[in-house]
Amino acid sequence: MSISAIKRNTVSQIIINIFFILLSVSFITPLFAIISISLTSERDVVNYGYSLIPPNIDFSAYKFILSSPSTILSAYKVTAITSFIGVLSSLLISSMCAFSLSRKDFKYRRQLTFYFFFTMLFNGGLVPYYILMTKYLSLRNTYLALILPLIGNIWHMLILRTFFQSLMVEIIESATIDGASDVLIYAYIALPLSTPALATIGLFQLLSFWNSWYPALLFITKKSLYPLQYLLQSMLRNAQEIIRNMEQMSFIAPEELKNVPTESTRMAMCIIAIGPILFIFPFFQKYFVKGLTIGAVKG
Amino acid sequence: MSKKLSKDGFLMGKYVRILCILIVVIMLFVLSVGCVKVKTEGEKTESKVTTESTETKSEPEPLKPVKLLWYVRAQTPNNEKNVLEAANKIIGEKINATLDLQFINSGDFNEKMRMIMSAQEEYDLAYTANWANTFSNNVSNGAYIELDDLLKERKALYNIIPEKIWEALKVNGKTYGVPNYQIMYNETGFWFKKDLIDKYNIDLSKVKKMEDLTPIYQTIKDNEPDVIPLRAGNASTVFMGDYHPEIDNLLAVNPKTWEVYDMKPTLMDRYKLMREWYQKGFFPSDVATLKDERPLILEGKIFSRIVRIKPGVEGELQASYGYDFVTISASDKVLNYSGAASALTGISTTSKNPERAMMLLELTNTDKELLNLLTYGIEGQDYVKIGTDKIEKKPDSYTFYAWQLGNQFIAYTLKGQDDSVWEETRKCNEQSIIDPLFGFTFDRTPVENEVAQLKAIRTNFDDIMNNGLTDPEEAMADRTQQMKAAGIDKVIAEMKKQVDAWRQSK
Repeated sequence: MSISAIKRNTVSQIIINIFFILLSVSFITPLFAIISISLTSERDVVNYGYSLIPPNIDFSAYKFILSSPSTILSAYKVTAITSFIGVLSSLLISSMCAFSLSRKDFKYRRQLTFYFFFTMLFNGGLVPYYILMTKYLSLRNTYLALILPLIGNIWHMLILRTFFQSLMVEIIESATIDGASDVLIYAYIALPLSTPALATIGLFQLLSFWNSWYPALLFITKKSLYPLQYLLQSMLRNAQEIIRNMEQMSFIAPEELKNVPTESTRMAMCIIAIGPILFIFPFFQKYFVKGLTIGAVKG
Repeated sequence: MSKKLSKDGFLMGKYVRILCILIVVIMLFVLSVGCVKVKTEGEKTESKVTTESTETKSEPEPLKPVKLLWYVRAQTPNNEKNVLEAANKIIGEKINATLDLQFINSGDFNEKMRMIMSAQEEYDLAYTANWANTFSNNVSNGAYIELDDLLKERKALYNIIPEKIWEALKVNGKTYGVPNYQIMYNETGFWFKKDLIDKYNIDLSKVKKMEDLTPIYQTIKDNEPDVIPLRAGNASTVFMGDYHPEIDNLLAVNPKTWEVYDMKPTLMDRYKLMREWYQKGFFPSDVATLKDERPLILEGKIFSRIVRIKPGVEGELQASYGYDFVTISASDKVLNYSGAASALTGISTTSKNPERAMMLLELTNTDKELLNLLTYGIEGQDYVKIGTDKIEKKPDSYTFYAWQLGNQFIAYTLKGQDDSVWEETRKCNEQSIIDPLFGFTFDRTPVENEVAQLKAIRTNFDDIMNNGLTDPEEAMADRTQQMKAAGIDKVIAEMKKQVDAWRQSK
């Protein structure tokens, strides 16, 4: 390699690095801002405005939240249970479904794939969905109401199907010759060979279960069944509603006004809510890069 | 390979055709379902109404036990289970019913109620108002039953509320909501921080017009660099002299000549004053975008603000922010639709026991013990009595609002509230001027588009001009031109026509 080529290489390296450094800064700054606002006292926010480095570090927002931890703990419990059961069962269901659809010897696979695919484009709409869940399945105020709506992700199922298709047909054939049933092939060959895909999809699912709040808005009225994100959402929505009413000078009871969480409390809630996910991410990272490309390889 | 791909890919060739056909079939299906649903809904409400009237006729028999579901707009309070249990003892004894009071967070209330109503879910009572779970929309969607027949048998409830308010709340001549009797008039004024008023010896009794405030704000501006003299500008609700009602928050009516006109161009002096105030720095620097003012007020950074005046308002502000306030009134007391419709209870068309729901409503409006139990909780657990009708609440106790349940005027007063606050409020209700257009509702369907456009323009310019952000003359010229283009004349003509027709019908 000539010297000029190396030079050109380093120049482009530097440019690429700068670009990605800037990109990561733009991702990290908002998160950092949330952390520093959560550590700023209300008084400092009024006096100095928001700043990336808080003028005085103040833990009162966290103290306030953790002083009555029962609500948060129960929300954590609900979110943990739904995420755990949800991820496992959705992985099981979508991988089984994907495995069948990936087999060339399955007669109706194209029609079935189309049937699944169709639901990605069209759905029944909000009201029928609501009626189905509350009237026919009577799932109001149950854990199932939080798990079921997210369990069948067709997009993830199709990614898995593509991945299974890329497995060598020969392995499956030889296993069949050795007398393995389809269930055995699925459990002992297909699943172990597709850990990166399963890990990636598991992570996606985990994120969507962790972040979901809309099913809770629709189907949960009992406070003991609030998931974490809905607790956060309802807190923010209530605060917004009160601020809106205040502007329009309509009714606000003094008690209600007193309970509006401060900006720092809201941010502290955010931090508490995203915490665990931030720590889980690095563990999945080694599968992640490999897993991300799986949808791209075909045939 | 490529051949195999196209055979394999489900988006190719004939699948596109199948997809198209399926889409068409589904569209047709959706359309037909939509039509069928509207029809059945109409039938359903009709059949409900008939069964209802037959049921009410066979009333004197002993009451069957029923369950009543009531949706209200608040966070689920502490100690709610015990309070409901105690309330159900009273309700069970009197009307043999069990109340299931469901609290929905205020931020989610509109959305949840919309789902419940569109799913035709069964419930009996719900809080509704012109500002939350919008009453008029719900009525036109057929969510509530007509109450006139039921009310005839509930005289005790009917007589609590003045006749004129029942009249004003009627939609097409029929009653769909029971107003919760509470403060019903609007009066606007200012609050000021008491410590600064005392410090600079400001005499607020001399403030009779907007200009009188300028020297006061100047004093604050000069001597208290950290304090913002006024939260935001306002040109059209305070110190206005004669009351000219506004239709649909858009155009005003002169009650003497019944002329419909755009009020804003007549207020040029006001806008000039607001410009002057802005230039003098009386407003917060981010006045037009500042949303959450609460921290500023809590920190005592705002000297004054426009506020709704009512008996006991100073105590209420003190309870909210923790320091003392003085208030002045800057308008007449006006009883108008938005005040009367600010707290109603509707009975759902899906209710199986509307007559029992009405009986429950009568109880919450007349039974002092029940209303106070549902508002303040259980004596000893949630509050202690410090006078005959006066209580002090315990921290973290049961909290709800009488104005969502029934008659506010039979509720206890809280420590810090004047003993006579409800008596005063009721008096003010009776003394207030009645909006000349009380009972008139503008049907905007003929000029729907124009109204929407005009409203957008109005909001746009209000934000700018009320706070004096630009030169008022230029902005007003611009505004007038835009309003003309958006069809203001057509809307004026339509409003005039409807107002005249309404006056004739009276």
